[in-house]
Amino acid sequence: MESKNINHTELNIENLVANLKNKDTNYSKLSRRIQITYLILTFIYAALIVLELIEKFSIYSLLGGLCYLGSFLILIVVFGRFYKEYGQVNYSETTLIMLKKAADRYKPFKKITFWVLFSLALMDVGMCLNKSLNFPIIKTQFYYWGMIIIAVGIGLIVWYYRYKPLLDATQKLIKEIEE
Amino acid sequence: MVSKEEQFKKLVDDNKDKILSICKYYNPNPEDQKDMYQEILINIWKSLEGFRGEAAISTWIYRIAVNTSLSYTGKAFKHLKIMVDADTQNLHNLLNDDFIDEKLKKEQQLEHLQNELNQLSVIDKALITLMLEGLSMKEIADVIGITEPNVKVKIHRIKEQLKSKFAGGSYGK
Repeated sequence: MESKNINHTELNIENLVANLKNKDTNYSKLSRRIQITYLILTFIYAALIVLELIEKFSIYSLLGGLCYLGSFLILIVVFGRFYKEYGQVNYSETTLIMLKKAADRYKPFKKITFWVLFSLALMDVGMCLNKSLNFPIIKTQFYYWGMIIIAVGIGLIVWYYRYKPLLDATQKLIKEIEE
Repeated sequence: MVSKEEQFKKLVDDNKDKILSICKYYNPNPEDQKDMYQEILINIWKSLEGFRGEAAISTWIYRIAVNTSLSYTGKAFKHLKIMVDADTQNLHNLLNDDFIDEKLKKEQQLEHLQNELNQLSVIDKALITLMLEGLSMKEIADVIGITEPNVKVKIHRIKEQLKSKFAGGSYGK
Protein backbone atom coordinates (compact mmCIF):
# COMPACT_ATOMS: atom_id res chain seq x y z
CA MET A 1 0.00 0.00 0.00
CA GLU A 2 2.91 2.29 0.80
CA SER A 3 4.41 2.15 -2.67
CA LYS A 4 0.97 2.77 -4.16
CA ASN A 5 0.67 5.96 -2.08
CA ILE A 6 4.14 7.14 -3.04
CA ASN A 7 3.46 6.69 -6.73
CA HIS A 8 0.13 8.42 -6.37
CA THR A 9 1.70 11.46 -4.74
CA GLU A 10 4.58 11.49 -7.22
CA LEU A 11 2.11 11.96 -10.01
CA ASN A 12 0.95 15.22 -8.48
CA ILE A 13 4.34 16.82 -7.85
CA GLU A 14 4.63 18.48 -11.27
CA ASN A 15 1.15 19.98 -11.00
CA LEU A 16 1.77 21.03 -7.45
CA VAL A 17 5.01 22.84 -8.32
CA ALA A 18 3.29 24.63 -11.20
CA ASN A 19 0.46 25.74 -8.89
CA LEU A 20 2.87 26.86 -6.20
CA LYS A 21 4.89 28.91 -8.68
CA ASN A 22 1.70 30.56 -9.93
CA LYS A 23 0.64 31.35 -6.38
CA ASP A 24 4.06 32.86 -5.60
CA THR A 25 3.84 35.08 -8.68
CA ASN A 26 0.26 36.11 -7.91
CA TYR A 27 1.12 36.80 -4.28
CA SER A 28 4.06 39.06 -5.11
CA LYS A 29 2.03 40.83 -7.82
CA LEU A 30 -0.90 41.36 -5.45
CA SER A 31 1.22 42.72 -2.59
CA ARG A 32 3.09 45.03 -5.00
CA ARG A 33 -0.23 46.30 -6.44
CA ILE A 34 -1.57 47.01 -2.95
CA GLN A 35 1.61 48.88 -1.98
CA ILE A 36 1.51 50.94 -5.18
CA THR A 37 -2.21 51.74 -4.70
CA TYR A 38 -1.60 52.90 -1.12
CA LEU A 39 1.34 55.05 -2.21
CA ILE A 40 -0.60 56.65 -5.06
CA LEU A 41 -3.50 57.46 -2.72
CA THR A 42 -1.10 58.97 -0.17
CA PHE A 43 0.56 61.13 -2.86
CA ILE A 44 -2.84 62.27 -4.18
CA TYR A 45 -3.94 63.22 -0.69
CA ALA A 46 -0.65 65.03 0.00
CA ALA A 47 -1.10 66.96 -3.29
CA LEU A 48 -4.66 67.92 -2.30
CA ILE A 49 -3.41 69.26 1.04
CA VAL A 50 -0.74 71.34 -0.71
CA LEU A 51 -3.29 72.72 -3.21
CA GLU A 52 -5.66 73.62 -0.40
CA LEU A 53 -2.87 75.38 1.49
CA ILE A 54 -1.77 77.31 -1.60
CA GLU A 55 -5.35 78.47 -2.11
CA LYS A 56 -5.91 79.44 1.49
CA PHE A 57 -3.16 78.96 4.03
CA SER A 58 -4.19 78.14 7.54
CA ILE A 59 -2.08 76.56 10.26
CA TYR A 60 -5.09 74.44 11.30
CA SER A 61 -5.52 73.05 7.78
CA LEU A 62 -1.79 72.31 7.61
CA LEU A 63 -1.79 70.48 10.95
CA GLY A 64 -5.06 68.72 10.09
CA GLY A 65 -3.65 67.57 6.75
CA LEU A 66 -0.46 66.33 8.38
CA CYS A 67 -2.50 64.41 10.95
CA TYR A 68 -4.48 62.71 8.14
CA LEU A 69 -1.31 61.91 6.25
CA GLY A 70 0.37 60.55 9.39
CA SER A 71 -2.69 58.42 10.07
CA PHE A 72 -2.67 56.99 6.50
CA LEU A 73 1.04 56.23 6.69
CA ILE A 74 0.70 54.42 10.02
CA LEU A 75 -2.21 52.36 8.65
CA ILE A 76 -0.18 51.45 5.52
CA VAL A 77 2.70 50.19 7.67
CA VAL A 78 0.39 48.41 10.12
CA PHE A 79 -1.64 46.62 7.42
CA GLY A 80 1.54 45.74 5.55
CA ARG A 81 2.81 44.05 8.71
CA PHE A 82 -0.53 42.30 9.30
CA TYR A 83 -0.50 41.02 5.72
CA LYS A 84 3.03 39.69 6.10
CA GLU A 85 2.44 38.21 9.55
CA TYR A 86 -0.76 36.39 8.66
CA GLY A 87 0.10 35.46 5.09
CA GLN A 88 3.43 33.79 5.72
CA VAL A 89 3.53 31.44 8.65
CA ASN A 90 6.98 29.89 9.01
CA TYR A 91 6.55 26.17 9.53
CA SER A 92 10.28 25.50 9.61
CA GLU A 93 10.77 27.02 13.04
CA THR A 94 10.78 24.84 16.12
CA THR A 95 7.31 23.73 17.19
CA LEU A 96 7.53 25.80 20.37
CA ILE A 97 8.43 29.02 18.51
CA MET A 98 5.78 28.39 15.84
CA LEU A 99 3.13 27.90 18.54
CA LYS A 100 4.22 31.03 20.45
CA LYS A 101 3.98 33.11 17.28
CA ALA A 102 0.56 31.60 16.54
CA ALA A 103 -0.60 32.48 20.08
CA ASP A 104 0.59 36.07 19.50
CA ARG A 105 -1.38 36.25 16.25
CA TYR A 106 -4.57 35.04 17.91
CA LYS A 107 -4.43 37.57 20.77
CA PRO A 108 -7.09 40.28 20.37
CA PHE A 109 -4.91 43.12 21.67
CA LYS A 110 -1.22 43.48 20.98
CA LYS A 111 1.40 46.22 20.55
CA ILE A 112 0.30 46.86 16.98
CA THR A 113 -3.28 47.58 18.21
CA PHE A 114 -1.88 50.67 19.95
CA TRP A 115 -0.64 51.96 16.59
CA VAL A 116 -4.07 51.41 14.99
CA LEU A 117 -5.75 53.34 17.83
CA PHE A 118 -3.09 56.04 17.57
CA SER A 119 -3.71 56.43 13.83
CA LEU A 120 -7.50 56.60 14.43
CA ALA A 121 -6.94 59.28 17.07
CA LEU A 122 -4.67 61.16 14.65
CA MET A 123 -7.42 60.99 12.02
CA ASP A 124 -9.86 62.36 14.58
CA VAL A 125 -7.51 65.26 15.39
CA GLY A 126 -7.17 65.88 11.64
CA MET A 127 -10.97 66.04 11.29
CA CYS A 128 -11.26 68.49 14.17
CA LEU A 129 -8.44 70.77 12.96
CA ASN A 130 -9.52 70.86 9.33
CA LYS A 131 -12.06 73.67 9.33
CA SER A 132 -12.89 73.17 5.65
CA LEU A 133 -14.74 69.96 6.54
CA ASN A 134 -17.00 71.98 8.83
CA PHE A 135 -17.79 69.04 11.13
CA PRO A 136 -19.45 69.86 14.49
CA ILE A 137 -16.78 68.71 16.93
CA ILE A 138 -18.87 67.17 19.74
CA LYS A 139 -21.27 65.39 17.41
CA THR A 140 -18.38 64.11 15.29
CA GLN A 141 -16.62 62.73 18.36
CA PHE A 142 -19.78 60.94 19.42
CA TYR A 143 -20.36 59.28 16.05
CA TYR A 144 -16.70 58.65 15.24
CA TRP A 145 -15.74 56.96 18.52
CA GLY A 146 -19.19 55.37 18.77
CA MET A 147 -18.61 53.65 15.43
CA ILE A 148 -15.12 52.58 16.47
CA ILE A 149 -16.42 51.12 19.75
CA ILE A 150 -19.14 49.20 17.87
CA ALA A 151 -16.57 47.92 15.34
CA VAL A 152 -14.23 46.82 18.16
CA GLY A 153 -17.19 45.13 19.89
CA ILE A 154 -18.12 43.19 16.72
CA GLY A 155 -14.45 42.29 16.24
CA LEU A 156 -14.25 40.96 19.81
CA ILE A 157 -17.39 38.84 19.35
CA VAL A 158 -15.94 37.35 16.13
CA TRP A 159 -12.62 36.78 17.92
CA TYR A 160 -14.34 35.11 20.87
CA TYR A 161 -16.05 32.50 18.71
CA ARG A 162 -13.46 32.04 15.97
CA TYR A 163 -10.03 32.72 17.41
CA LYS A 164 -10.29 32.31 21.20
CA PRO A 165 -10.68 28.51 20.93
CA LEU A 166 -7.55 28.46 18.76
CA LEU A 167 -5.69 30.69 21.23
CA ASP A 168 -6.73 28.45 24.14
CA ALA A 169 -5.67 25.27 22.27
CA THR A 170 -2.33 26.85 21.28
CA GLN A 171 -1.61 28.08 24.81
CA LYS A 172 -2.44 24.63 26.15
CA LEU A 173 0.10 23.08 23.76
CA ILE A 174 2.76 25.63 24.74
CA LYS A 175 2.16 24.91 28.41
CA GLU A 176 2.38 21.19 27.72
CA ILE A 177 5.71 21.55 25.92
CA GLU A 178 7.21 23.82 28.56
CA GLU A 179 6.12 21.97 31.69
CA MET B 1 22.82 28.01 -9.51
CA VAL B 2 20.06 25.60 -8.50
CA SER B 3 16.55 26.97 -9.01
CA LYS B 4 13.94 26.89 -6.25
CA GLU B 5 11.98 24.35 -8.28
CA GLU B 6 14.97 22.00 -8.64
CA GLN B 7 15.90 22.38 -4.98
CA PHE B 8 12.31 21.64 -3.96
CA LYS B 9 12.03 18.56 -6.15
CA LYS B 10 15.32 17.16 -4.86
CA LEU B 11 14.34 17.81 -1.26
CA VAL B 12 10.98 16.12 -1.71
CA ASP B 13 12.54 13.21 -3.53
CA ASP B 14 15.19 12.68 -0.86
CA ASN B 15 12.77 12.96 2.04
CA LYS B 16 9.56 11.51 0.62
CA ASP B 17 9.59 8.51 2.96
CA LYS B 18 10.08 10.62 6.08
CA ILE B 19 7.17 12.89 5.16
CA LEU B 20 4.88 10.04 4.20
CA SER B 21 5.74 8.25 7.39
CA ILE B 22 4.64 11.24 9.51
CA CYS B 23 1.44 11.48 7.45
CA LYS B 24 0.74 7.80 8.04
CA TYR B 25 1.01 8.21 11.80
CA TYR B 26 -1.85 10.68 11.84
CA ASN B 27 -4.12 9.42 9.10
CA PRO B 28 -5.47 5.92 8.69
CA ASN B 29 -6.74 6.33 5.15
CA PRO B 30 -4.61 7.03 2.04
CA GLU B 31 -6.70 9.98 0.89
CA ASP B 32 -6.12 11.89 4.15
CA GLN B 33 -2.45 10.93 4.03
CA LYS B 34 -2.25 12.38 0.53
CA ASP B 35 -3.91 15.63 1.65
CA MET B 36 -1.54 16.07 4.57
CA TYR B 37 1.42 15.14 2.36
CA GLN B 38 0.43 17.85 -0.08
CA GLU B 39 -0.02 20.36 2.76
CA ILE B 40 3.48 19.56 4.02
CA LEU B 41 4.93 20.00 0.52
CA ILE B 42 3.23 23.41 0.25
CA ASN B 43 4.79 24.47 3.56
CA ILE B 44 8.21 23.17 2.47
CA TRP B 45 7.90 25.30 -0.68
CA LYS B 46 6.91 28.37 1.37
CA SER B 47 9.78 27.89 3.83
CA LEU B 48 12.44 26.96 1.29
CA GLU B 49 13.79 30.48 0.80
CA GLY B 50 14.25 30.82 4.55
CA PHE B 51 16.37 27.68 4.86
CA ARG B 52 19.84 28.82 5.90
CA GLY B 53 21.29 25.41 6.70
CA GLU B 54 21.46 26.17 10.43
CA ALA B 55 19.62 22.93 11.16
CA ALA B 56 20.23 19.58 9.48
CA ILE B 57 17.97 19.18 6.47
CA SER B 58 16.25 16.16 8.04
CA THR B 59 15.50 18.14 11.23
CA TRP B 60 14.19 20.98 9.07
CA ILE B 61 11.91 18.60 7.16
CA TYR B 62 10.65 16.98 10.37
CA ARG B 63 9.92 20.42 11.84
CA ILE B 64 7.77 21.32 8.87
CA ALA B 65 6.08 17.92 8.87
CA VAL B 66 5.31 17.97 12.61
CA ASN B 67 4.26 21.64 12.64
CA THR B 68 2.02 21.09 9.62
CA SER B 69 0.48 18.01 11.17
CA LEU B 70 -0.22 19.98 14.36
CA SER B 71 -1.82 22.81 12.38
CA TYR B 72 -3.55 20.42 10.01
CA THR B 73 -5.01 18.35 12.80
CA GLY B 74 -5.47 21.54 14.79
CA LYS B 75 -8.75 21.87 12.99
CA ALA B 76 -9.78 18.93 15.13
CA PHE B 77 -7.23 18.67 17.95
CA LYS B 78 -9.45 16.37 19.98
CA HIS B 79 -9.68 13.87 17.16
CA LEU B 80 -5.94 13.66 16.53
CA LYS B 81 -5.13 9.97 16.26
CA ILE B 82 -1.79 8.27 16.03
CA MET B 83 -1.60 5.11 13.94
CA VAL B 84 1.07 2.46 14.41
CA ASP B 85 1.35 -0.98 12.92
CA ALA B 86 3.51 -4.00 13.54
CA ASP B 87 5.94 -2.78 10.87
CA THR B 88 6.50 0.55 12.58
CA GLN B 89 10.21 0.97 13.11
CA ASN B 90 11.48 1.38 16.66
CA LEU B 91 8.19 0.27 18.14
CA HIS B 92 10.21 -1.85 20.59
CA ASN B 93 11.64 1.39 22.02
CA LEU B 94 8.32 2.16 23.60
CA LEU B 95 8.18 -0.97 25.70
CA ASN B 96 10.65 -3.67 26.68
CA ASP B 97 11.99 -5.83 23.86
CA ASP B 98 11.02 -9.06 25.58
CA PHE B 99 7.61 -7.65 26.25
CA ILE B 100 7.19 -6.92 22.57
CA ASP B 101 8.48 -10.34 21.55
CA GLU B 102 6.17 -12.02 23.93
CA LYS B 103 3.00 -10.10 23.49
CA LEU B 104 3.01 -7.48 20.80
CA LYS B 105 2.88 -10.00 18.03
CA LYS B 106 -0.80 -10.38 18.57
CA GLU B 107 -2.99 -7.92 16.83
CA GLN B 108 -5.14 -7.42 19.88
CA GLN B 109 -2.23 -6.08 21.89
CA LEU B 110 -1.16 -3.81 19.08
CA GLU B 111 -4.64 -2.39 19.03
CA HIS B 112 -4.43 -1.90 22.77
CA LEU B 113 -1.08 -0.10 22.41
CA GLN B 114 -2.61 2.09 19.74
CA ASN B 115 -5.52 2.91 22.03
CA GLU B 116 -3.14 3.81 24.83
CA LEU B 117 -1.05 5.98 22.48
CA ASN B 118 -4.20 7.79 21.48
CA GLN B 119 -4.91 8.64 25.11
CA LEU B 120 -1.68 10.67 25.12
CA SER B 121 -1.70 14.44 24.73
CA VAL B 122 -1.09 16.01 21.31
CA ILE B 123 2.52 16.93 22.12
CA ASP B 124 3.27 13.51 23.59
CA LYS B 125 1.93 11.97 20.37
CA ALA B 126 4.25 14.21 18.35
CA LEU B 127 7.20 13.16 20.54
CA ILE B 128 6.32 9.50 20.12
CA THR B 129 6.04 9.75 16.34
CA LEU B 130 9.51 11.32 16.18
CA MET B 131 10.90 8.65 18.46
CA LEU B 132 9.29 5.93 16.34
CA GLU B 133 10.95 7.56 13.33
CA GLY B 134 14.28 6.83 14.97
CA LEU B 135 15.30 10.42 15.72
CA SER B 136 17.81 10.91 18.52
CA MET B 137 16.84 12.87 21.65
CA LYS B 138 18.97 15.76 20.37
CA GLU B 139 17.15 15.76 17.02
CA ILE B 140 13.74 15.61 18.71
CA ALA B 141 14.81 18.54 20.90
CA ASP B 142 15.78 20.49 17.75
CA VAL B 143 12.40 19.81 16.15
CA ILE B 144 10.23 20.66 19.16
CA GLY B 145 12.36 23.49 20.54
CA ILE B 146 13.09 22.21 24.04
CA THR B 147 16.28 20.96 25.68
CA GLU B 148 17.56 17.42 25.21
CA PRO B 149 17.20 16.56 28.95
CA ASN B 150 13.62 17.81 28.78
CA VAL B 151 12.90 15.49 25.84
CA LYS B 152 14.44 12.58 27.75
CA VAL B 153 12.25 13.31 30.77
CA LYS B 154 9.11 13.55 28.65
CA ILE B 155 9.82 10.36 26.70
CA HIS B 156 10.67 8.52 29.91
CA ARG B 157 7.42 9.73 31.45
CA ILE B 158 5.43 8.51 28.42
CA LYS B 159 7.14 5.11 28.46
CA GLU B 160 6.47 4.71 32.18
CA GLN B 161 2.86 5.71 31.65
CA LEU B 162 2.46 3.12 28.88
CA LYS B 163 4.27 0.40 30.81
CA SER B 164 2.17 0.92 33.91
CA LYS B 165 -0.99 0.75 31.85
CA PHE B 166 0.16 -2.48 30.20
CA ALA B 167 1.38 -3.91 33.49
CA GLY B 168 -1.97 -3.02 35.07
CA GLY B 169 -3.09 -5.18 32.20
CA SER B 170 -6.68 -5.13 31.14
CA TYR B 171 -5.56 -5.97 27.60
CA GLY B 172 -5.92 -9.34 26.06
CA LYS B 173 -8.62 -10.42 28.45
